[in-house]
Amino acid sequence: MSGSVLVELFGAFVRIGLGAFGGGMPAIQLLSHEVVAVHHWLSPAEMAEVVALAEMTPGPIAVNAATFTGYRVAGVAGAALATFSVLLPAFFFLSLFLILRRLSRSNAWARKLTSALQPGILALIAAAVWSLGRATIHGWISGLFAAASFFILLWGKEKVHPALLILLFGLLGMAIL
Amino acid sequence: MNNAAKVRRAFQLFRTFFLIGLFTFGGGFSMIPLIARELIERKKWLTEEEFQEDLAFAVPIPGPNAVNLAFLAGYRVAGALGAAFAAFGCVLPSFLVILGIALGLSPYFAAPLARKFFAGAGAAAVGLVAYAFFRLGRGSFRDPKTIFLGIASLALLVCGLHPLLVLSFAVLGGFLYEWIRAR
Repeated sequence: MSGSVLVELFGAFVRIGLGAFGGGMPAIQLLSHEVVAVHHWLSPAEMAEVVALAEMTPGPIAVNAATFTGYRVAGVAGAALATFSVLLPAFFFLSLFLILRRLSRSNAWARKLTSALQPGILALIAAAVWSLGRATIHGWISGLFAAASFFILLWGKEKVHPALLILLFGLLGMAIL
Repeated sequence: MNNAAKVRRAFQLFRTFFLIGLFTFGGGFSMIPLIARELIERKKWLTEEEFQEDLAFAVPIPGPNAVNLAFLAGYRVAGALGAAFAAFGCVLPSFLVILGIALGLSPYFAAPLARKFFAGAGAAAVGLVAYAFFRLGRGSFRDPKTIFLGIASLALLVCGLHPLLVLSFAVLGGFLYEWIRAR
């Protein structure tokens, strides 16, 4: 394992951490861009595995994906480095925010920024549907799986836990795919 | 609070967030109601207002929402040490679980039955992400600004532009739009 791989891992996951707004789903597209398209650390199919795995295990998707990819690229040290790197921007901006809050207690900017991020975040999630879909949907059975999980969440009013849903379709896949 | 009390509180924060992190599946978003219940109702470390304020700031700061929230709430409860311990406790379970899976199970990932499992699970994950899109966007699909900036951003993403750049363009575009409209 060369040092330059660790440097690349650090850079890629800092960039992913910088764009990781809005609850995990938009981060999937950042991950696909850096990890799959730019660095080829994982194949599109492996990326989909990481997302499925992240949904079934505890913790934020970005953190799960960082740990898994880091391990694949450079073992336990890579896992620790990638996890640390993906959170570094968060810790930097949170500290900055706590320092600046002493100067001004206004929170109008937070609401403005939250709504300003909305279109970009929606576009990232839409792109994630596309890139994940291309990697996982091959034929009508897997298409049916994707549609079924969407409509179960929609019609079930989210009473079915996402982690359980992924697990069930995984088991169903073992049986019929 | 004196220093000894702060250190003790920081360890309690670590423990609380470690347990929350360990038992919440399905992404960071599902952790937020649990954090609220634990910190406001059970431990009484935060008021509802303080929690809502921290949450409002956790969202527009980069990083997983749950980790940001742990950091801000930890800071409120026990200063810088509290922030560090809460965030570390929140991340550690997910790190350990994934590392355990990567170390122990990756040799079996190539087995035919595992391939089939991930083929099914991966397809279901697409439905999940599509649903997240629908749920988050539901309120703003008729808003011309969101439609225009959203479609423009998607086009740039499809062209292969770095998502971080696209996100910056979308935010700047949104502010520009508001600025032009206000004039």
